[in-house]
Amino acid sequence: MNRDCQPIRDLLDSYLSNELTVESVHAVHRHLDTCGGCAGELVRRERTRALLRQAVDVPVDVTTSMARIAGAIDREQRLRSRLARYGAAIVLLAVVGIGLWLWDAVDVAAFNDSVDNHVVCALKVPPTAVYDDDRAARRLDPQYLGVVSAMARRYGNYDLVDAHMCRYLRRDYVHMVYRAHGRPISLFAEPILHGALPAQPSVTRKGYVSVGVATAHHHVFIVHDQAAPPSSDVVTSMLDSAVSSIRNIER
Amino acid sequence: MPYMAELLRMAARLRGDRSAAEDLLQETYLQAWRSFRHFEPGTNCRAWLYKILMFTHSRARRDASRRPATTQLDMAPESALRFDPSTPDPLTVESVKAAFDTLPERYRIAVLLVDVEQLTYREASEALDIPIGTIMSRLSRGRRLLRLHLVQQASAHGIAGAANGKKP
Repeated sequence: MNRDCQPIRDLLDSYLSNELTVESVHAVHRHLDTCGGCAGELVRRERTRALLRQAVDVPVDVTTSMARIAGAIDREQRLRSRLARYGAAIVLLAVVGIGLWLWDAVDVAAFNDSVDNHVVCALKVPPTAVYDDDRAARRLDPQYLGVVSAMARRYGNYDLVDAHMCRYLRRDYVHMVYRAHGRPISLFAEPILHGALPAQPSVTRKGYVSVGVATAHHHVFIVHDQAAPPSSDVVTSMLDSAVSSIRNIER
Repeated sequence: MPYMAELLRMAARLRGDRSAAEDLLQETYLQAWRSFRHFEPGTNCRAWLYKILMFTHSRARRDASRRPATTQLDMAPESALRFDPSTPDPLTVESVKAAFDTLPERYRIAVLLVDVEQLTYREASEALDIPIGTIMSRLSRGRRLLRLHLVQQASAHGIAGAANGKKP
């Protein structure tokens, strides 16, 4: 091997891999034409590669692999499609579930609704109205007839002037209106469907005071004018009567 | 599914076990299917599939060993890499296989991709996600080491033409 051989030998593997430039290929050819040693080395390297391919040859059958891969892709496709189909529903259910859980924890609107609806409703009762059993019977749900009939017609100087069902924001209330000197007191109850009452027993809103208590299955509220409040005896006896009559129908 | 036979062969060479090779192939094609939207039509599909195969193989090995991959460059002494012997003759399949098995993995994989699977240098660099200069360097070192081991084997067996290489 002369000193021209080594640069050519450095190119022989790339020559076999067909990675040389045209100029380098010509240089290799020119050298090989005159150098038996390098020509022999090229043959031996080519043979080494052929032997290496034989040495590492692995007989393969892709039939099984193809079936396995097709099966794996199919399984993943079905999983993705199922996830896409049910994913939105699962998220929606989770949101609704969390919402219901939070909603059930505390009925945050209870006192607000008691003031907002029933004060307006009580003020609409005509000033000349007198309580009428037949009218009340037509306007009350049957299960609450006993509640109203168990209540006194008068507490202090407050007279019962009306009793009816109120439906407000998907809530069903039995509503009794007492009045003295044009000032109403609303006494009403609703089934517990929206969670427990907030921790505070009363709230003042828009000039009216609302007090709420819970029985086993109902919330019972009494709402009166803050500026001219009834005596505490009136409030207490009215609320006690309402609670005990509600408890009677719950038994 | 293109190139499946050659990728399965490559997987078998990397894993050395038929069942493990089929697992590797399945994971490769599944990964290719998952990321097919990233494949640019008109680019080299073969190199892309090899790249996924090599990445999946490396990741599985890393997961199995629970430690980062380490370089094996030290396994080839620089003095050995400077020595470029002539290829001894005669050679057998067994001697070539024995010499090949002694190569550090990074050289063995480069030689497998180019000299056995006949990927171009560029395809091999894409498959291994390394610069083309690095693949050329690994090939050069791997081929020299292979020849060196063949010469050493031949010398051990007293074959006369084994020592006709250039000494360092």
